[in-house]
Amino acid sequence: MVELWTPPPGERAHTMVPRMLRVDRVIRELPDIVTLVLDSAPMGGFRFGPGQFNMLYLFGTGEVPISISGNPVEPGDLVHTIRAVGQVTRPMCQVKRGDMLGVRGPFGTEWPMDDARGKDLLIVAGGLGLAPLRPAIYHALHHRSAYGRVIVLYGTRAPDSILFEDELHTWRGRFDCEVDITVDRAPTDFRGHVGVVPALLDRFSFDPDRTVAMVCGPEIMMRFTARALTKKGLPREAIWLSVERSMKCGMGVCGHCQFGPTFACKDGPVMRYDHIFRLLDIREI
Amino acid sequence: MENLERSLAEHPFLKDLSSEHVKLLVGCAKNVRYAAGEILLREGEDESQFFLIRQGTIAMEAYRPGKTPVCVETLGAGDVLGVSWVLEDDGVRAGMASTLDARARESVLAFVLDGECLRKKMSADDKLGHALSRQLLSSVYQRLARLRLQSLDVYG
Repeated sequence: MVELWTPPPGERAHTMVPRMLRVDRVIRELPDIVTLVLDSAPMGGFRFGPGQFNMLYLFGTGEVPISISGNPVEPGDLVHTIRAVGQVTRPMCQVKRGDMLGVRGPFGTEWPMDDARGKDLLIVAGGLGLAPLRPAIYHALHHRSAYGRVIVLYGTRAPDSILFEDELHTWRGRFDCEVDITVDRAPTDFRGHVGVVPALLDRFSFDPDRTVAMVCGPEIMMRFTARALTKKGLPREAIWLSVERSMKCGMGVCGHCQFGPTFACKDGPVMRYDHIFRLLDIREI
Repeated sequence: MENLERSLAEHPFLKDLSSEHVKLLVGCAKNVRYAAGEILLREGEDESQFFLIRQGTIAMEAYRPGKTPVCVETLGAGDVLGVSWVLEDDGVRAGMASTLDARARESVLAFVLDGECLRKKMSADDKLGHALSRQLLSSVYQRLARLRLQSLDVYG
């Protein structure tokens, strides 16, 4: 067992002041998606819970919220997977080994790994939404005997945009993990499913009374998936979503990420569906 | 015959039908297997048969001149294929020929029900006609909702 670094009691400095961490590896996942591995070993590791995020600061450019996509049981590496889509993330995806990034965090709520002990895990990801769920998958596979079935369903645009493809193959190859993939469209030699993620749910049978679902992806995909899950008998209390809003401070102070009566950065990003399903239908939020 | 009736009743599309209605359908149905690569329905063909898929995967493919063919949807166990048989064989149905090729990606087991036979039984028994029409509408609506979502390109 490795004892991880934790802030001293009462110290909140790391929520306000970025810690400087060196980029140890840059992994080009897809043409527009990069995984940055930051070396947190000098500070004794970086403890986080599956589902949490950090504010990453590229000095001179800006700060963005990025989910942690690494393994919670490997303390030395702090891993984030980033899509080059905005004014900060585009240059952030161009950083090189040895460059420094500022890190504030970890922030936010976690996937309910403790509450889900003894139950089947249904992990449903869409597109880059696999990144915030990967720590939950690592956790479940590391503590494999604590859970029943582990089912990973992943949807993305096309076969050439499958994130973490090698790992999906590895997980699928295990006897104790079920993995399936669907894409929106594909060449005719593709062997996987073609269709939306909710359609993939129909290919799997699961026990609604002993299943916990964790869903992350574009909000419209999560809405449809959560509805499909409830239609299959899963109670709303057993469905968890990762809500994305415009997080700025990460501490529930600035209000940028207000989501109805909650703040996505502080009360989320991981939220239980029965708490938010009405909010998801309010277009003004 | 009894086995075919029991197997038919287990298909999700027919699970809400009464046993009497399922019994009526047996005379229209046959149990078939398609080898990998076989075409169940070709673009432009009349959908005179109704497929209830039991096992395997069917790729719905569009062939584009000069471009790589594309698979726009896969169907599997529990899905149905070909629905315009429900219309009379007139001008309306002629305009609703299959829009895609349906190709067995692997060995496929299915029930094939003859459309004309089904239409006659639906006309002769209003309750059966209502029950089958409701199931068809539900199935078509669910497929439409999925394809709408799929067309949104949500993954960005």
